[in-house]
Parts: sequence; structure tokens; C-alpha cells
Amino acid sequence: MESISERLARYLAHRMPEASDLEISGLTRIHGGASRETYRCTARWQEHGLDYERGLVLRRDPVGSLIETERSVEYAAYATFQDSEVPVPELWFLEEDERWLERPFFVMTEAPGQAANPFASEPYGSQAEAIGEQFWRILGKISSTTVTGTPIAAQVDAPGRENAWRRELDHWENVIDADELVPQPIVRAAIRWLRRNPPPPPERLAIVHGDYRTGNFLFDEQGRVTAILDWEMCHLGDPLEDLGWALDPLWAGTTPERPGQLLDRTRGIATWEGASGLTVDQDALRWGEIFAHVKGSAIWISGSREYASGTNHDPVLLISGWLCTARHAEIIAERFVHLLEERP
Amino acid sequence: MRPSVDSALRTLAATLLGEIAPEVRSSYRQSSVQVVAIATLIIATEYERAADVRTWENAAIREILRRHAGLVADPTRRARLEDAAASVDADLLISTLDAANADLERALIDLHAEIEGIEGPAARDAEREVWTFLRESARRRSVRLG
Repeated sequence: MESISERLARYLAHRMPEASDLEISGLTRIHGGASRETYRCTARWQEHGLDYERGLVLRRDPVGSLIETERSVEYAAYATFQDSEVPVPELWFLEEDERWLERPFFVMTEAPGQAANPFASEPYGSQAEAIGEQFWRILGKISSTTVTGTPIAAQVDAPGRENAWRRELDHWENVIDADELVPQPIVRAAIRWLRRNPPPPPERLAIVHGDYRTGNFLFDEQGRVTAILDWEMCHLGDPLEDLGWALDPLWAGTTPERPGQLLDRTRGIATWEGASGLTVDQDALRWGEIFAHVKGSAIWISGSREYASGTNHDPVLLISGWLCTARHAEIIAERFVHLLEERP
Repeated sequence: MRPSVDSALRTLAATLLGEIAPEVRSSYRQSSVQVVAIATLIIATEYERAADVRTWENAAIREILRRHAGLVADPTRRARLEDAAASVDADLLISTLDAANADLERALIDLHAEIEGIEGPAARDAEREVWTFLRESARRRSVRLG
């Protein structure tokens, strides 16, 4: 049976008619991409008498995953930010035809650098401030990108500003309705609160990364952020949605005042405001943060369903189903006990 | 003497992390072995506390339902909550406790949603009591690595 390397080489040769002697070597699966199968490899070929070599990343649809998304949305998000102030890998090809690799996939260049384990202690060491400044500034650039005419705008629906919150909350509540294995009294109470206390409309409709957090970007030894990754949940909506997600204590280890174990919260938000030109409404941000806890819970619940049903045996789904669901329940409960204490 | 289940699981996790994972050549599979080891550690913790967490929760929810079901005006819904408050755990099998826990949590969700819409100090006290329980439950079920 033909290996993935051989099949990918055959595909690339098909897409690159000027190339000859195209070879794929060193193909290895990368752990952590629970929403898509992710592989790293090296492509070598000749073209017009010259030798070429590129590190590539292959993102193939899984059988089942934490997040059920269209690869075309992720591809369009990467396409939106090619050659921009938001660093992303260079895109090569999107392929929906399943005859090549059994499932749809896309290919892009491998960006330099490494991703942090979001659950490690102080993964950025002495570079936390420098990386944190870039982390929040780049998010500000995403939030301030003009939506009209972008590849992502052509791929996803634009909600009205008034309804952006409702569309997202409906979506993730539906996920919980469909996938919960046990009742979720904490998450259900948070959803009821979100519906009783809707946020004001956002200043502008923005591109929302959808999973902007520590662990989803690459950084190099010099402390430069080299690529923002994992755009599979990208959509149009309230930019505070990304802010709330990035601020979630789940990603902060033991330092919730320093989201993502990067900059302290106040500086992070100020950096985002400076880069985006937007001002944070505190009530809206609180809504966005509680929504982030609910959305996270929905993702872990959905992954648990995949694992329990046998659709996907990736043990990462099991761990996230136990660890992250429990942590988000703790975060929400603590938050609501404090909200009750603040109530007159 | 024989090893207890939780200590056996912890030893198995140490074997996976310290002896087996380093011998696995594929970095992807090596990471998978490490994740399986972590899952084994979580199972060890869960095994030790599973019955305790569930019996405590079930008793606490029944007490909340018993104390506050009277706030619910609709007689059918109130009766359902009172029935849940009067239920008992048939045995201490985890599957039995989980089934009872799911029924009780559904009743708690109904009560919680109901009292959020009721004015007055009794409803606020009940709401505070529910959230205090939920926080304690979340703490007891928290999963920590290391």
C-alpha cells in the first residue's frame, strides 16, 4: 500500500507540473493537533535546473476531533493574513478531493519556531514579556483587519453586530445539547446568565481567530512570534470573543493575573487596545470571558463524546475531557460565587 | 499484601513515562504514551475518591432540593423535585451512584433555573446555596497534574 509520503509526493507533482524528481522525506505526525491530523515533512524537487527544498506541514481532516470544522475556513483564514502584520505560514494547496489522501487536506510551509505547552509552567521563561507584547499586539491587528474583501469573509457568514453574541452562544449551547454525557449544572447556569445579560454590540464586526491562546503560536529562540496557528474556528464576530478566550484562566497555569503566562492582564489588554484602536467595554469583556468558559466547556464535552463513542481514540481527548472540563467548572463556579457576593 | 489499585496505577504510569516512552521511536507515539500515562494518573485519583465525591454530592443535592423545592410554584415541577429529594442511592457501585447523580443534577438544574426567576430573599438564599454547592463540587472533582 502506498505510504502517505508517496501519495503526497504524487499529489504535489500533480499540482506542480514544472517540478521534477519530487520527493517527500521525514514525514512525521505532530502531536497536539487534535482538530486535524498534522504532519511535518521535507519536500525536495528540481525546477528549471535548480534544486529546491522546503519544510512542509500537512493538515488532514481527522475521522473525529475536538472541533468539527471545515478545512476551507481554516485555509481562508491563513489566506487572509498572507504577507500581513499577522505572521502565518505560507499556503501551498487546499485539496478537497478525497482520492489523494482519503480525506481533505491542505499543505503549507513549516514556519520556524516552537509552540509552548499551554499547561507547562512558565513555558516562555525570560521571554514572556517580549512574546506577550507581540501576542496581544498581533491579536489587536487581527481585530482591526478590514473584513470586507478578505478570503475569510467569502467563506463565513457575517452576523449582525447586534446578534453576534447570540449566534455564537446558540452554536456552543447546541454542541453541549448534542454531546453532553452527563448533566452540566455549572455550564447551564452560566449559559442562562449569558442570555439574561447580553453584551452591548461590538464597536465593529471583526475577524475572530476563535482559538487565540498560548500554545497556538510559534516563537523562536530570539523571542519572536513567527506564526499564528490553528485558525479552524475562525469566524466573523465580536473581537472581544478572542480577548476573552486569550484571557481565560485555563491557559494561565497558577498565574491568572498573567494570562497565558505572558504579560500581566492590564498590560495585555492595553496592548491589544493600542494595536486594534478599539476600547474595551468592561461589561462586554466580562460577558466575553464567561462565554469563553462556556465555549471551552463545549469543546471539551464534544471531545469527550468523540472519545466515548469510539469515533476518535486520541488520548488527548480523554485528558481534555477530564482535566479541562473540571477546570472550567471550577473557574465558572468561583466566578459566579463572587458575582453573587458583589450583588447588592 | 498486594498493591492498592491507585498505587498500582501510579506505578504503571511511572513505568510508561520513565521506561516505555523513551524507547518509542516515533515522537508522535512517544507523546501518546506520555498522555496515556497522565490519563492513568488521573484514573488513580478518580478511583480513590469516586465513591466519596458521588455520595457527598448526592446527599448535598438532595438536601438542597428538600430545603428549596417549596419555592417552586408549579405543583408538578415541585413534586418532581421533592421526589428527587426523597430518592436514595440503591448501592455504592459507581454506576449506581453516577445514575443517581445524573438524575439529581437534572433536578438541580431545574431548581436553579426556577429560583433565578423568583424575586425575594428566600430565592436569593437558595441561589447562593446552589452556587456554594456547585463550587464545592467543582473543587472536589478538580483534576490536578503532579
